[in-house]
Amino acid sequence: MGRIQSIQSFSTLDGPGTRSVVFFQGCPAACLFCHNPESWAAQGGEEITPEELLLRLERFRPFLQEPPGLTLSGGEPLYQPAFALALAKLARAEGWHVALDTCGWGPTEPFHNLIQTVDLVMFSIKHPVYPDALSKLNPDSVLTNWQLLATLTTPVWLRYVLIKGWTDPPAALTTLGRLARDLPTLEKIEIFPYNSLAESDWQKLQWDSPLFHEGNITVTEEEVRQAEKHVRESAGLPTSLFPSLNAP
Amino acid sequence: MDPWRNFRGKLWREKIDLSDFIRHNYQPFTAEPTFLCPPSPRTKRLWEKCQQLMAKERAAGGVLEIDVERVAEVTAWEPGYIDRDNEVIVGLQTDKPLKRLVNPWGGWRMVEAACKARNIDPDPIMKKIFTTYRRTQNEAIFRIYTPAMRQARHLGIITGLPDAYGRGRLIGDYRRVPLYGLDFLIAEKKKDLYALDNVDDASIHLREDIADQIEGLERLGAMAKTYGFDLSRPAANAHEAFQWLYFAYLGAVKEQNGAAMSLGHNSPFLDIYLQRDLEEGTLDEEGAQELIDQLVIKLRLVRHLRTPEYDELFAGDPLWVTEAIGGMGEDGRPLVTKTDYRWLHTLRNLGPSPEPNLTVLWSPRLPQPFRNYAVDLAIKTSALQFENDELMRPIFGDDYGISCCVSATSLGKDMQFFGARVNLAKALLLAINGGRDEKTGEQVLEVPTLSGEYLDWREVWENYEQVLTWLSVLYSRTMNCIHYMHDKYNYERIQMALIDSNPRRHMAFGVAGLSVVADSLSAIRYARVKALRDERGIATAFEVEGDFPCFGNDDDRVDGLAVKVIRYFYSSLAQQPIYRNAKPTMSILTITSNVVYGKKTGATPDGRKAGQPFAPGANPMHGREKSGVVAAMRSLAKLPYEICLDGISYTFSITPRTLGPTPADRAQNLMRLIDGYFGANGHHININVYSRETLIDAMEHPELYPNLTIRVSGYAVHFVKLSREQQLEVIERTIYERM
Repeated sequence: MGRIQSIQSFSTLDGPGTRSVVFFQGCPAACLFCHNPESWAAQGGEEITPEELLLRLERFRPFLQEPPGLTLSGGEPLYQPAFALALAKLARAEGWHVALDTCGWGPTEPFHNLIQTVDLVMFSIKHPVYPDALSKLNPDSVLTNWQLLATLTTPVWLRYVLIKGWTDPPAALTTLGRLARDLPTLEKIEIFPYNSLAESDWQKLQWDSPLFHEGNITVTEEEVRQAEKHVRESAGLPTSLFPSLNAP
Repeated sequence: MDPWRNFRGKLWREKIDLSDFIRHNYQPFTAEPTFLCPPSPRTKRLWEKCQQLMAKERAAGGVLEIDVERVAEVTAWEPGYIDRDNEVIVGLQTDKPLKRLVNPWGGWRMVEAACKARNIDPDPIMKKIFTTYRRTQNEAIFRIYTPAMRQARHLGIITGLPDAYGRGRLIGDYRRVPLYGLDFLIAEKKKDLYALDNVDDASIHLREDIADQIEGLERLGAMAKTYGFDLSRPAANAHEAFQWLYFAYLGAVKEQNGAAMSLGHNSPFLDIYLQRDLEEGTLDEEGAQELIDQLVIKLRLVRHLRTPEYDELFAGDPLWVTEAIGGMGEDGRPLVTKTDYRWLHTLRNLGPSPEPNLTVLWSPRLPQPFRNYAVDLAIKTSALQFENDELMRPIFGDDYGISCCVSATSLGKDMQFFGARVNLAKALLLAINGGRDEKTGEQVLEVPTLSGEYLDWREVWENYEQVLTWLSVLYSRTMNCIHYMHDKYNYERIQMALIDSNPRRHMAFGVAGLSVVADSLSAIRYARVKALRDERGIATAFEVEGDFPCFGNDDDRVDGLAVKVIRYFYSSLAQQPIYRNAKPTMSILTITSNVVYGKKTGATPDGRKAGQPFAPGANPMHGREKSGVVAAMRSLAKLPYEICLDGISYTFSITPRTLGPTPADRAQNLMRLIDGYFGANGHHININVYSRETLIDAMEHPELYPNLTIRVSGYAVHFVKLSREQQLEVIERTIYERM
């Protein structure tokens, strides 16, 4: 039994092909730029067994390309490791391509087990050095999990949100590049501009984030390209890692 | 020259049988469409001229010119042309392009209101004729409406009724004119007429119909003669086949101003003629495309004179010149021909446009290149709709067209009585308010007053059943009145002449506001809903405590409520006696009228505020389908087509990026979505691929987007021709988009 916040039946943005996304309930990271703050609370959402959940997902299957994709997102799936693992195993047995969308939180062993089970890890590095102000993640634990990826064969996509004044300093980008360089299973690096829509999600909860009082924290497409260039050049990464450079 | 040379098959030669003719003579086309040609120089010049005319029409506020001198009748006008040197297909509704005709047969008040809105005075003699000597359909209907019918109509409970203009929805089998020529068709009708020698009401009625039809065909021939064509014999080549077919349709739109004047399913038929000419060496591909392009130009110029109220209901001056494309034959061969591609190709040669309303009859068994082509075009133009051929063919056979927006009709075999629709949400409010109208407080019927401040599911449902039963009686009787008088005073002699003499008749009932009702019932059942009542005791607002499932999330609890409502209502309708023994069908369809219906409906228990638009057609309410498009499609597909044979309209909008990262991905993903939806028994889908930003920009700068076409419920429309209110509603609709 686990808790989910919601299901998105059709997505082309959360992994390869067409997929459904399960948003797990509960996340300890509490990132100040979170676009889904409703998913933080451990006790909210809907209770469901992995078997029931898979049955629900199977109804979407005829609308998705084969193999159908399933992305475990959240919330933080590793916050409910047994549930996430059970769902991933069931879905893979039925032929789903399972991706894990994680912030890298979590004790090593369940993290290791889940990574071994899924087909793809989408690892969102919130900030390479994790200033306390931006999230509650423990940088050492995230780093340990990142390094663990190098011992496994599961392909990895690195995701990073660019926030002006917070995650865009050159030093942070240099560190990000170094992390990328050290991971042989890395397939892709995606840098997204901060999306101010997050603010309305916070307002709905009548919450506030100090980030919203910092003046303009959004970045332009051009600034994203510049950041990518910095990451790539500082670490000597191949252009093939950057989908934006290979866009049709 | 023998017009039937090189044609195969026997049956169709002896009696009218288009299916048999097509089956024996058409050539399915399964390869890649590398043969398609750009527009001919003549087409380019003609289209250029037409576009200038249409720009003038827009600049003039939507109507360029009105002929107030003549009464709509097939022979009333001398020949009209746009540009004789470049016009390959000829014939206009009046004597000048975009000059609108006056059609008083449906009702005089409509003519007067439409003229008045443009500061034109109608002809006083015509007025005298149609108000003193000749009864109109509108007058006849209102004379026999009961007070209850009038009340339901003016409160907007039964709404959009064809009681003041043509009911439309009929599709004459226009192919019969080129294949057989008028002499043969008239001879066949005469046989039918003389074979009926009973003297009961029904037989005399039918005999008069057939006599009218014969007269219609004779006048159609007379009209064509003024253009120099002899329709008495069959068409002998492709050019004649196109011209004869268009004349037949033109005859219909000269006499009838039905809301929907659909064309049918003509590609396989026309392809036979084009193919024969190509093989005989008398035509090349450019010539073949020219014929299609020029026919389509003519169809894009058809106009009717409407009142401002009508425009508010059916925005953008639509005519539903619906033409079906594709589909599978019952013998297992695809009905896709080269000409199906040529039709679709007009969207590229002439640019996207709402008319003709191109409708792809979709099947997973269609040739893959055709599937790719159609989906790619839908993404690029947002001008196509798709309907589930696998669902319709078993019921309507393989020779069917789409009437109006989404309604399948066997060509030449079926006719339908257009039934507009009832507002199911207002009906629910009657159940909650003791049978009183929520806006005016008028007592409409007697149902028990609800007990508590909180709405009790059982009480509300019992009342709702009573309201729906009452409504089904009133609604079916109202439709019987309308169609009796329409047959009597505004009979469609040309269209009906091209349909079998004793056709299968459908009474096409309809409902609007289904998702509002489903969500409201769900709120009452699964959350707690407090009715806030005013001093009259009428609930003017509702407070919802707690969560409830909404239609469009693949949640059986609420989807089941939607099904329960339409099953209940349909089974009540099916028990009512229906004019001319028509078979009841039902649609879940609103066109753009979801805005007006919403305006006329008070606050509903789902949290919708008074006056807010409904979702279009059978769509989930705006923004409530939280689980994405597949879940929404799953919900829609649960609505049972077998009781909604008139069609279940679903309008789907998505941003390009959400559909996929590359054009190839988008096409593949969309195809999979359509296959998934239809595989789950979904009936119809409008495809829109655009971003909200484009629409907002078009609203602010209409001059930059004269051709931006979008699909609304069952038809396409130029976005810039919508009212601001309607534009805002389209923008508010769920456009699937993930950040």
